[in-house]
Amino acid sequence: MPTEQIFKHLPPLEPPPDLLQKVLARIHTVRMRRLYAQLSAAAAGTILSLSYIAFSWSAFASQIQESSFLAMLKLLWSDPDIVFSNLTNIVLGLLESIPLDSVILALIVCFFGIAILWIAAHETRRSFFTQLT
Amino acid sequence: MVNGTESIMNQLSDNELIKACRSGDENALGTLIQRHLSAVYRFIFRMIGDRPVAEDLTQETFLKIWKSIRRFDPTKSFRAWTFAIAKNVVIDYLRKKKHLTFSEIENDEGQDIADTIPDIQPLPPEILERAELAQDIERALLELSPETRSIILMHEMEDFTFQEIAGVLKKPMNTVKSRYRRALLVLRGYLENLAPKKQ
Repeated sequence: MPTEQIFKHLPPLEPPPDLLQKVLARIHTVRMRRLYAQLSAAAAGTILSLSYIAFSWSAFASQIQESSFLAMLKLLWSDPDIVFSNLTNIVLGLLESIPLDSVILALIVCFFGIAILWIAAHETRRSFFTQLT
Repeated sequence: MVNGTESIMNQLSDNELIKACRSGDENALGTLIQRHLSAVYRFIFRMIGDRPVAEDLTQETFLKIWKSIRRFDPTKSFRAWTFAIAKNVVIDYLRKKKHLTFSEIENDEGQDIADTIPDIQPLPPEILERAELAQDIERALLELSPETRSIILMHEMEDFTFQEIAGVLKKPMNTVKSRYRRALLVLRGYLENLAPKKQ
C-alpha cells in the first residue's frame, strides 16, 4: 500500500456535540463586551459633549453681554426708525458683535455629541436586537 | 434555529452566508460555523493531539473568523481562509507551549527539490497489519514539524489540493509538494522503525 494511503486507517473524528454552542456562546460574550465598551465610550463622549456645551453656553452668554449685540437688538424696539434708516450698518454691527468662535465651537461639539449618540444607538440595535430575531 | 430557516440557510453558498453575516444575521453565522466546524476541529486535533485544547483552539479560530469576516475577500476560498486562521492559531499555541519539534530540515524556500527525493516505496505488509497502526500514525504525525504536519493533514484528510495548501501557507506550490513528499518519507521511516522494536 502506498504510504499516503495509510491515513485511511485513522479513525473518523467528530467534534463534541456541544462545541457549536460553545463557539456561538464565546462569540456572543465578546460581542456583548464590545457593546458595553462602545456604550461606555458613547456615554463618556455624550457627558463630555454636554458638559462642554453647558460651559460654552455660559461663555457665549457672557460674551454676548459684553458685546454690543444686545444693545443693537434693543434699538429695534426702542428706535425702529433709526434702525431702518441705518439698516446696513446695524446689520453689519450685529454680525460683527456675534462671538462667532464660541458659536462655531458649540455647534461642532453638538454635532459630535449627536454623532456619538447615533453610532451608539446603531451599534446597540445591530448587536443586541439581531439576537432577538 | 427554526427548521425552515435552517434548510434555507443550508442551501446558501459560503459567500451568501458571509454576506448575510455581515448584515448581522445570526442564523447565517451559525450555519457557516456548523458547516466548517468538524473539518476545523479534526485538523486542529490532529495537529496537537489534545482534545480539550483542540476544543479551545477551535473556539478561538471561529472567534477570529467572526472578528475578521468583514475583511474576507469573497473572490477567495472561505474554506482555505478558515484553515489558514486555524493553522496560525495552532502555531501560536505551539510556540507559547514550546512544543515545536522538528524531524526534518525546512530550508527549501522556493526551491524545487522534488526531483532529489527518492520515490516513496509502498509500506511493508507487517506494518499495515499492526493493531496499533492508527495510534502509530497519529504519533508519527506529531513528530513532523507543525507546518509539514498541516500539509499532510490538509491534503490527506481534508482533500485540499497542493495549490490550495500553497495559498493557505503562503508558500510556493513546489515547496509544498517537496515538503509533502519528504514528510511521507519521514513517516514511512518512523513507522518502519516502530515495528521491529515492538515485536
